[in-house]
Amino acid sequence: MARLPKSCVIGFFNDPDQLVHAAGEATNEGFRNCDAYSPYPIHGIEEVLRIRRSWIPSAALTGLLIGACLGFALQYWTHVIDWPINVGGKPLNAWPAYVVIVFECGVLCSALTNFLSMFVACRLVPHPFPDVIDEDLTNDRFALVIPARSDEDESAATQLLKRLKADEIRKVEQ
Amino acid sequence: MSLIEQESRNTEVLDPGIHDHGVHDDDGHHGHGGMTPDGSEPLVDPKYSMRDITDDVLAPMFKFPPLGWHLAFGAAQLCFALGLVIVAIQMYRGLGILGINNPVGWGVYITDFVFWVGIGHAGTLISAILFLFRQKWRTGINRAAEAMTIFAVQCAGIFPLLHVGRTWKAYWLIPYPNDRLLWVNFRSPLLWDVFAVTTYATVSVIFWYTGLIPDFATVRDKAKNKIQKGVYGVLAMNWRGSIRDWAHYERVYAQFAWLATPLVLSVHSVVSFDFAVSMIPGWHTTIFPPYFVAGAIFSGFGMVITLLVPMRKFLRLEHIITMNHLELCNKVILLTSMIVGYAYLSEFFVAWYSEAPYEKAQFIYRAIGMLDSPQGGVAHAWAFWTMMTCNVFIPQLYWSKRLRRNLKVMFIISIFVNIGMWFERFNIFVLSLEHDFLPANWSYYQPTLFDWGVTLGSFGLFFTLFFGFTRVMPTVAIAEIKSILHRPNAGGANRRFEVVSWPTESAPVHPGQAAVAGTAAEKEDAEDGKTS
Amino acid sequence: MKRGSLPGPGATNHPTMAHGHLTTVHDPGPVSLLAGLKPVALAMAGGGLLLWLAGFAVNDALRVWQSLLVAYAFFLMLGLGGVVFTAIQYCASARWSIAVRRIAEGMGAYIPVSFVFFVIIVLFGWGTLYDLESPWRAANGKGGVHIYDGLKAAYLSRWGVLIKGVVFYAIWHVLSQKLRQTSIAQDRTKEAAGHKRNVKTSIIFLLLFGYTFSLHCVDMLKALEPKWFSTMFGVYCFSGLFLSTLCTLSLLTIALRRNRVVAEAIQPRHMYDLGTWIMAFSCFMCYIGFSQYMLIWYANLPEEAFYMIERTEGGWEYVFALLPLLKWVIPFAVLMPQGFRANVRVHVFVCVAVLLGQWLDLYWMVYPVFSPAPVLPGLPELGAFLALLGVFGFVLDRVYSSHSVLPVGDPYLKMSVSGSYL
Repeated sequence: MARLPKSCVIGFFNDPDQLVHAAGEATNEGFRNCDAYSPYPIHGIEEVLRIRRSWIPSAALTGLLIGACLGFALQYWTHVIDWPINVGGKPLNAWPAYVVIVFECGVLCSALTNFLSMFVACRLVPHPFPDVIDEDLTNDRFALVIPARSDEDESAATQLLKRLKADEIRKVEQ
Repeated sequence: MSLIEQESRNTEVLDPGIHDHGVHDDDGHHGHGGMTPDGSEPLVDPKYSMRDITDDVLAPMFKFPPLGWHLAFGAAQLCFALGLVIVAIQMYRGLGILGINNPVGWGVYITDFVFWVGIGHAGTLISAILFLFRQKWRTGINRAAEAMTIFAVQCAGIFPLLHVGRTWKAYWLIPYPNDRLLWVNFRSPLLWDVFAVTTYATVSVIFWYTGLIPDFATVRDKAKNKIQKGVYGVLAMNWRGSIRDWAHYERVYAQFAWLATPLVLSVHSVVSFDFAVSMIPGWHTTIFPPYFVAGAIFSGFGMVITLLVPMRKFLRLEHIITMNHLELCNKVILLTSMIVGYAYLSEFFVAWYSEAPYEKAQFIYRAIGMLDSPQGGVAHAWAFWTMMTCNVFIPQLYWSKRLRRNLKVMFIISIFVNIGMWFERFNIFVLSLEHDFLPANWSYYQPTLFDWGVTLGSFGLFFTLFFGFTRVMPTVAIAEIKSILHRPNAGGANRRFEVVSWPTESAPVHPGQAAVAGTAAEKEDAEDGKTS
Repeated sequence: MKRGSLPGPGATNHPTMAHGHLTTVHDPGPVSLLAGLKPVALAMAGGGLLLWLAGFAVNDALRVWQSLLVAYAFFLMLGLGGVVFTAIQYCASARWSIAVRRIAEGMGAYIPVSFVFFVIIVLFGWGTLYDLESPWRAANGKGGVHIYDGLKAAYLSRWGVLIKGVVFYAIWHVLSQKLRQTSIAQDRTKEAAGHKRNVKTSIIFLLLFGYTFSLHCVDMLKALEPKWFSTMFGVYCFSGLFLSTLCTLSLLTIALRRNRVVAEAIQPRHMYDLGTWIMAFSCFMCYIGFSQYMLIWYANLPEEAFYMIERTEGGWEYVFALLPLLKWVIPFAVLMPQGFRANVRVHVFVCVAVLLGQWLDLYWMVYPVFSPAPVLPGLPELGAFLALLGVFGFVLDRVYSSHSVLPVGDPYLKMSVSGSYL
């Protein structure tokens, strides 16, 4: 999960379009590091909130290459170096027969990297009773979180959310 | 140059342009009807809200299952228990209680193995390949289909382990440094299978779990019962639905789709290699890899229909898993049936064309041949014709739209598809071994009751798991289906050129904002327009 | 995000363009593919023909006929591939591809021209290429091969192949023209029913194509080694057909996008999707090629393996190694970064590499029958390829300049252009 800032103003919306619009307005008004919450991914909002592209694909690609190389190394070392034995008249380095396992090792390694990277990137940890902002944020509600470092920020953010006809506005101090 | 105004076919309703309240030159057609942009029925009726979807999908999880479910679950468990008893007997007495012997060393167990692996393929096809093809209808059925995949692969995995005889030594299949100073033979296709099936099972599970995380969060937030809340809270991994997390999540999901697509093709290809690398006539044929994959998808969709038709009825999900979903599945069945038919015919054609006597003899035996045996003239031609009927002839009924959309008909046809695909494998494995190079070897294979008992047990395991799944997990991908609800422009693998639509009347587009919101393509368009 | 360097459409004409949805599509009308290059194409065709004919005097007849067979198969696959692509898009109710559909559809016009080359090969090149008693076969240690099955001998005889060819070409031509004529009629009538009719035609076409194309490949390519058999062969040829078609389609689209109105409708998004398809089918090609090779290599049955042994020894192994490089590694690796997939230069590079790979693939299928070591491609090969390329270009130019290059009457064109299917 992405952490909530120490103090912030949260505006709730019932419609994804409203949320994207509000996010754009907040960015234009100069609020930085805004976050949004939604029950499903909304496309285009990352650009509005200037969220960087995920690094996970590069990690997965690296995993793929490493896994494939290890897969080949295992087979080559076993059959050519450690235990050279003639099976069915095939050459020791029978590459066509190795391709399948190279592929499977690559895919397995890449998929696991991909999966674990998600846990790191989204900071996923098992938590039986997390302190959720609102129970309907995973159902049918949308929220825009505007960090407010000062009181002026806070009132400006509240003003903005009011103007954007937010369904509900909450202030959070931790 | 003439300016062409496209005729309006209610495209505006779901066109992003609808949200602009008159910024566009629309034809005044927006706001009515619930048609998708191509004029067909929508996947989910727009009258349902996100809250409806959540409530309807989660309903079975929050209430005590009805009697019917208990009966079905109990019956499945009974079959599973029976299977376990037979497995125990086999462990005690050995493989001799099965029908296999020389020359048919691979019988019902291997047929079951390939059958179950094949069933699994539809789930991955739906979750990965259709995702890459931006087929939004997958969202309604992918969760249940993926569950089916995982359970089917579990059932499949049992059979080779039982078939090795000394199941307690099955860990010898894994390459690890050991005091026997031996290595596994990586050149053997059976070992490729070990790698392919375990990789497939692992990737399917983590892919499935990835899809489940946001939905577990929904369950956590909706659950009233404290224990339920805690359990799903742990499973949801503290998921909150932050856009930053979604940004990673979507990349991860797309990445999984890119990995699972070649993986699913490889798994059944590798299974086919078990046979095709050998030299038994009827086994060694180069078309096996794509032919097995097509057959797997065919049988998998058959099983999808078998499961979904009752499931959507009993869980009251008819408005989410709609007739359109089922019809599309049936179209896939028809398509793959044709591909499988092509493969059957090409095998026969090449058997004739090859002038290879053993190859020819095998195919004559399959279709019309007889074996002389102590029991008299026997043949498995009926298995061949069962396969042809179920896999090639019966699915032809799906040319009729009426039959494609008839629940009873599709349920019955799906059962035939399952039977036909089981016999396809039986036909390939057993009939080829029965009738190999030397007439002196030829012999008829008869499975024993123990073979059938374990087969029944695997069905018991499969249905036990599936019935359990329908009560403890969201059977539909809630987050995904919400993304296509009312907003068909969301979703899909290709995000780079996504059309963004958010300006509304209250917020006229000004240049700075457009630059933020526009995709690369649009920005480029705008710039090129200015310079020219 | 990186930008593709494609010429973008003029957004200033459309107030709506700023946020990415077109509600109007301009008709570019007929567009000339070659424009000023038409004489060049004609010169290429004529010069190629002369070069090819010169081969009879300079090289031997075998080489000349082989070169024509390779070029024939190469371009036939492109002509058919365009129709296959169109039909698949119809059957799948695909919306993204409608903007490029007319371009693919037009490639089918080459089919009847290809028929002429087919007849020439069967009537005049038969004795050289397929006759089992020919001196070239004897010289290459292939003498004394007989087809004992009388039916098979008749099936693969000159007249058998010719009769089948006439039937196959008739099917392909009639159905591809039906698809195209319905689509063109739609330009005027704008009726949606045409689309539905074409879906039906497409289904029939694909059903028949699957069988007829496989059999035609058996007749023209596999029959060179009448004793060899592989059930995968039809699928192998098909994967080559589809991959090379996608690349040709991409190149043609890039060429036609020089027209601004076309570029307005066929956007970087479409190029991106074509790039993804090329990537996906390069993997498919690799999968099929590997499976066929590996299974034959592994089982090592004499009646089958000789084909692969011929083609992986005596220098042919280098050609063999080039195939996965050109048809899989290059398209897959180069198109992997998303930013490259809509880039024109990258597309041109990848497509040319793949098409070269496709030519080498056919060359690798045909030439080793008679030559234990690779024949360095020379003037006859160049001549035959240029001649057919010139003809292919000329035919397509005529097609594209006779009707609009966008299916302007298709009810879903707007969706394809606006991207609202996403």
